[in-house]
Amino acid sequence: MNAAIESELERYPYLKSFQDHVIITDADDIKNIKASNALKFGKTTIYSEYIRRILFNDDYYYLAKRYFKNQIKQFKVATVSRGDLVDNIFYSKTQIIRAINEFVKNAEIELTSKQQNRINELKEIVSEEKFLEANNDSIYVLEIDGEKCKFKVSELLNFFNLDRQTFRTLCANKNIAFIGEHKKEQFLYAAYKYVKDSDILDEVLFSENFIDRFNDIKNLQLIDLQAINQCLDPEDETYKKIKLNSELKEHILNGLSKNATDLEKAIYVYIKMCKTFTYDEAYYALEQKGVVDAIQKHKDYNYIAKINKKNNSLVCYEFNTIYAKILSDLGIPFRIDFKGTFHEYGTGHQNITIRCGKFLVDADSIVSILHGDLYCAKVNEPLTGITCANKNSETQREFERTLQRVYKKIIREEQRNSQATDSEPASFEEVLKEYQSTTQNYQEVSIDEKIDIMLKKVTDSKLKGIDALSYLLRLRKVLFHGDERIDNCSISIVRRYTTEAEQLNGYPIAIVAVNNSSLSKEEEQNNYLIFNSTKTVQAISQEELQELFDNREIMYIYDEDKEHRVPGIYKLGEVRKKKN
Amino acid sequence: MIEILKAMNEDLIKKNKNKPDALKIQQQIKAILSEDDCFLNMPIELAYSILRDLNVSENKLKDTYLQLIEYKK
Repeated sequence: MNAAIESELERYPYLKSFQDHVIITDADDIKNIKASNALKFGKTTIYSEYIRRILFNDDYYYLAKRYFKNQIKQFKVATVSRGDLVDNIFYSKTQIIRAINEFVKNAEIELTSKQQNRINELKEIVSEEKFLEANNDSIYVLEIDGEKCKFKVSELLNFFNLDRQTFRTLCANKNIAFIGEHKKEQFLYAAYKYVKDSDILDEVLFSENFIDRFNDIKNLQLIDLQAINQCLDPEDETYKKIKLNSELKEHILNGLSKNATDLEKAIYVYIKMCKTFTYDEAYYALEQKGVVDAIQKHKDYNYIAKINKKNNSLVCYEFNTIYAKILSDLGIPFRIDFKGTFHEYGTGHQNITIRCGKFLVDADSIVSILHGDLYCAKVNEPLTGITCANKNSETQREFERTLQRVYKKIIREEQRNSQATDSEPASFEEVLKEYQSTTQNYQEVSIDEKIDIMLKKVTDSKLKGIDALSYLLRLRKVLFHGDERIDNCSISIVRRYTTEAEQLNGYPIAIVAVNNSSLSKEEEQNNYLIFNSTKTVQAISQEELQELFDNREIMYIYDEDKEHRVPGIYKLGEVRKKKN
Repeated sequence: MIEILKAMNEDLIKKNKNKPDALKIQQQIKAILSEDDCFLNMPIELAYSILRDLNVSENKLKDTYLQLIEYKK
């Protein structure tokens, strides 16, 4: 120790008490150490000179060994400035060992047997075997979701020594529910917590496999433990004091299935609330400041009792308090998160974290006043305020699928309710039109089948009376449409004259003309039926029918109306179409 | 025959209680079937579509339809 340091220690005698675990040196020496070759372990820079001194300098080795044996809490090198220790250089035990291994491997430090013995001694002190031997009967007690659990430390640590394949299978296989006598998730959570909270990765030299298995649990991708021990305390109990309008609650919960999972329930209630409520315009316009009633009323939780479907304006903490109340009634745990200096109702901003099994859900309906979910839900746009806080990718995907499914269900419910509450019932035509737009079973029916049906019905012996003529016309309308009525099926109501008992009589008949192809273009293929309201149906040839018209035994009732003309039958003097 | 179809429709409504899309179609059909002579007031294509939605097999569509459009005095 140089004279300058000795002078500092004389000046600040209390610094001498640090010498049991600190090598106090001068600033130049610190610079010298920091100028040596260095290794980076994560964010930590380890200097070769420091490591070299542990192995070659008796004072350094003595303190390092005491540190390794837990006789001192820390071992460091520092200098003094204005009565304080500054420029501290210190590392964990495992960092020192790993650095020794690297520097020796890189030939930065050359060893004699003395240094090799020192290395072996330090390694042995922090070996995994020694640690397990010392903790063979140790029990780790941990409260997990309100349940006090006890674990053997040796079992927890040995789990991280499993080979990669076995470890990953045990963690990821959903059919494996227990490890030993413990629920799998509880065991893995305890193993992780023990290693993390005890800092033993700094204290004990575990294998690379051990550290990799620990990191497998830490990164939460192999198995999702993130929700364990979360939302055990709501943090704010204002929700217990409020009175919630019963009709409002019923409206929000209406349509929620009793068999829904907690996640589905939490999402359902959130979306229904966003669709029901709106942000208080006055509060927004006044920038949430001031002493006017528009602002002050929202600082009193008793105001929530006045909020209902009509008086539906609110602000963030009212939304969250109502949401919390409903979640509590549904038995779903949550935590109110305050953002602001004062964790007080009516100040700052609030959002809520909900725990649904393995899912942690963050909900903030007012991420943005104008573009948040209080707006988006009303126009069925994607929601931005309800998100999955889990880091596990599969959990996030499951959350998204559930969110979309529940959102669509609510939208469909809205559409159904909207149709049911229309002030005028839909007409039959409107119902048919809606059905046609919905069904997947609409197909064309062939002309042959339509004609077959028509002929079957026309020849049905039950057809009698003038009303039957109406039936035939109606049937043509439902079987044939558009051009089909021109090309494929024609019904003409005409007058038939008879002479009975020397009296001229006339009565209406129907002439049905059908053609699979075209009544006007393929006339020679036309089939004709005379439907007589008093007699049976009679098939008739084109020539016979033409003769009846020519002899004026049949006449058109609407003589000049070409629509009612029988296809293929011509008036006297008309030129018959030639076949192309 | 129309009563049989109505009964089939009711069964399908119960069966599809938790399938909103299928349920919607059956509810639409229910409204259609409640109309007198509904099959004489719609195109044959829609009639066949309704019969398919009621699970009438394809080879029975025509015969079923013939019964449904029976002349009534």
